[in-house]
Amino acid sequence: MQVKTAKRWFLWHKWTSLICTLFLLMLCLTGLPLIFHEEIDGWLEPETAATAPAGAPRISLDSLAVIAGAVHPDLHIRYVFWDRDDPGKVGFDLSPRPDAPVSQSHYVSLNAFTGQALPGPKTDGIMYTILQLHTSMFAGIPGKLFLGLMGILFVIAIISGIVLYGPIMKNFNFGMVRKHKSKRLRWLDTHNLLGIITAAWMLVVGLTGIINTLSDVVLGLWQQGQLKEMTAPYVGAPPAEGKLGSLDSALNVACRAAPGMKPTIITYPGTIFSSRHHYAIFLRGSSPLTSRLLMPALVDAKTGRLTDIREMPWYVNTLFLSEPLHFGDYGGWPLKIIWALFDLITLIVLVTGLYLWFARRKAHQQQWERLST
Amino acid sequence: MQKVRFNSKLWGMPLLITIISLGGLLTALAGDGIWDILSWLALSLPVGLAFRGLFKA
Repeated sequence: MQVKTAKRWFLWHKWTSLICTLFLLMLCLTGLPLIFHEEIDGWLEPETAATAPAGAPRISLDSLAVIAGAVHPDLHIRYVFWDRDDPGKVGFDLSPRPDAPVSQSHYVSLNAFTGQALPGPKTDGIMYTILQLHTSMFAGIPGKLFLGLMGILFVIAIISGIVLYGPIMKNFNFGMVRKHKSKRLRWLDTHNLLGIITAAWMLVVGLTGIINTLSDVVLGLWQQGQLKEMTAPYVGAPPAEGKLGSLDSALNVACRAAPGMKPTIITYPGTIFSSRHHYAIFLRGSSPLTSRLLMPALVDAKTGRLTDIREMPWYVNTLFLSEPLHFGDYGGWPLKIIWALFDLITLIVLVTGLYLWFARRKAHQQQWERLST
Repeated sequence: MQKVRFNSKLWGMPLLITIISLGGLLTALAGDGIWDILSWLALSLPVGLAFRGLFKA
């Protein structure tokens, strides 16, 4: 590589890194506890598993909905969801209006065998605060998109870093760290070595992070695309109001149409995930891969008839598959530990990068001072 | 014009680590049990090498 070309790559590396480093430090620090959020949540607030008395049948969803509705008589149910790890637990999301912002949600979690209330998801704990900081810095959709932009800079920094590895390391063996030359060389070599070793993981987590910041864009595309197509026959029909059809029969109809799949969430008419006329039942597969992909089944909320069921478009599936690859929650606790170690190594790469910039600046300044005296 | 040739002394190890890392990231997605174990083993390589490099420094 020509010196001029290398210099240009170096400038790209320097500036993209400098701009995103502060935010990346925040993301690494908040991401670390988030890797273990299930464990920490369970430890902060011991979860009661939904135990079933021997031989007890499941209570119907419609009866559970009545119990949940009685907890907040002034609110309306808008989502019914199942716990991934505890099938005996059914959650309800209640809000003043079906399309109210998430912040107005109240949650009720019920034991599907006894109807007893269980501690539900919390939205005021420390983990929730950390999650908000990590995903949007409390700045809503603009905050999310801004972090996405920082993610793009991070990815450019990684790629330019990989390119620079060539000219820097061409006369050395892999793994070389000059220990006794100078502090700067020692940290330069460490930065290069750790950077090139973890580049693949950092790229994957960076790119999937960028995709996750686009979740609202993806939701909008889906609403305007597939959902609109699926509900086209209902355009102009009066919204489903008054007493709605049975949840249980809607669920049955949907499950019969997709054998082998499990429900994850039912969304009510008028919510952002459905039309004004349908229960939308989202079904998932059972393998680690297919359990991430959802299939929406629309059931007329008045007549209880299935009107459409489809696989989701590629851009939604891309978003769904980016989630596990970003969170590291798809391969048991050892994978979480590995994720945490990668996170720590990334922190070291960020900090040594910052140090190298300071050290170089200082060296430059001293050079100038020597010249001018 | 200079001929572009793959410099295996320079890029061999980084390429190997990248392929093994990506393999490890994907196998856990493919299934449970043995797939998870393969993933842990594969991803232990970059993590192990990084920490070895760090302590050598």
